[in-house]
Amino acid sequence: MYQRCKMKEKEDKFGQKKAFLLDNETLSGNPFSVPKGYFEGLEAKTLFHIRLDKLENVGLKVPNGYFEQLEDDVLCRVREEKLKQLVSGDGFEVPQGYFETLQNQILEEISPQKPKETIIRKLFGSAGMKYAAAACVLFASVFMIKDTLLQQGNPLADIPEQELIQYLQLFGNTQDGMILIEHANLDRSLSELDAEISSNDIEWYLDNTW
Amino acid sequence: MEDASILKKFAVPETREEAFTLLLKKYQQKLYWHIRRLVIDHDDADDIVQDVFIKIWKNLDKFREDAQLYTWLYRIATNECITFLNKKKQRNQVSLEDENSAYLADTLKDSSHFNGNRAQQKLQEAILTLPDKQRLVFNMKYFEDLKYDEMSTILGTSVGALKASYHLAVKKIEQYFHDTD
Repeated sequence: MYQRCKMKEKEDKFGQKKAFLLDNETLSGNPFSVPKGYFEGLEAKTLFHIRLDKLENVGLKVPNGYFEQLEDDVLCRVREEKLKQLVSGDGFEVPQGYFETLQNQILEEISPQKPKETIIRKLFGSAGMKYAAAACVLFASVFMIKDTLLQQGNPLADIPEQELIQYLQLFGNTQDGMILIEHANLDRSLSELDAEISSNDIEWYLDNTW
Repeated sequence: MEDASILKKFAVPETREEAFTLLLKKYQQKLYWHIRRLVIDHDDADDIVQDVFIKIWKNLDKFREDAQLYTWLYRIATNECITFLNKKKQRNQVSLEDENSAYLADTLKDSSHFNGNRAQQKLQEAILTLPDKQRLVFNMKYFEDLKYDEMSTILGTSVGALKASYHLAVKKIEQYFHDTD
């Protein structure tokens, strides 16, 4: 339209009417051509492309919000790569041969435990032990009895502890221990014990154990 | 050996110990380093990794095969580490709410089995400025190269939250390097 108007202006100014008509005729024709049978195949071709496009959209989907996340992901990867270039490894070490030892330690822990052999020690296996045990019981008993007697003003209370110990060391025997154990029931109070063993019993015991 | 084959062997009483040995060989280093980067000290890591394998030994027969074995192993190790770190916080009188991992800075300094160069030292210091969970996510992604969905199974956190956590951690570490240059 613009071209045509321009041409008209030219005609008005310079009277070249013929030239204009010639141009107009040339412009009204179509100078382009299409390959033979193009329009016959166009419909089918277009429909094929539409179908293909639909198929592509079905196969390649992205998760919701993927493109929003992508930028962050890429930037993070860039930072990560920079950091990895700057620092390689973490600097931690383990003692030499650690993993071999670790494996053995764990396997040892899970292996079924062999029942431990219980060592039975005979406390009174030797005569020496018998006497030592008896002496211990006697010492303890003497102290307990002596304290009680002291409180009661018994004549035995006047005998020094050391003498009593020496006496029992020299003349006591395992039988003494048994007698004292029988009487020295630790669940009972000292006053109960006093009531049962009279000072005469003790004197008799001492007199008759020569 | 494939995990499925190990599990099959483990189910048979006669080959149970053999299967466990195979599992131990396959995973001991992976689990050790996972634990070590979290607790920093070698001796602590040694104690924990042993406890973890004893737990695995005791509970492997209860493992449901619909899950991946290694994510189950990592979950046990991670839980042990979190328990250990909480106890350590209590011992050091650090509030459990306190997110900073700075209470481990001394452990790193005193560790006889850390022989990092300046950059590695700096990276570890930067990692210790992160909260424990962010530190965990960072280590799993950066050093162990685990995928987000694997991490999600191990930690029971959504992939989105893990990504956000990791991105934030990387930014903080970059900033730490920038600030201390």
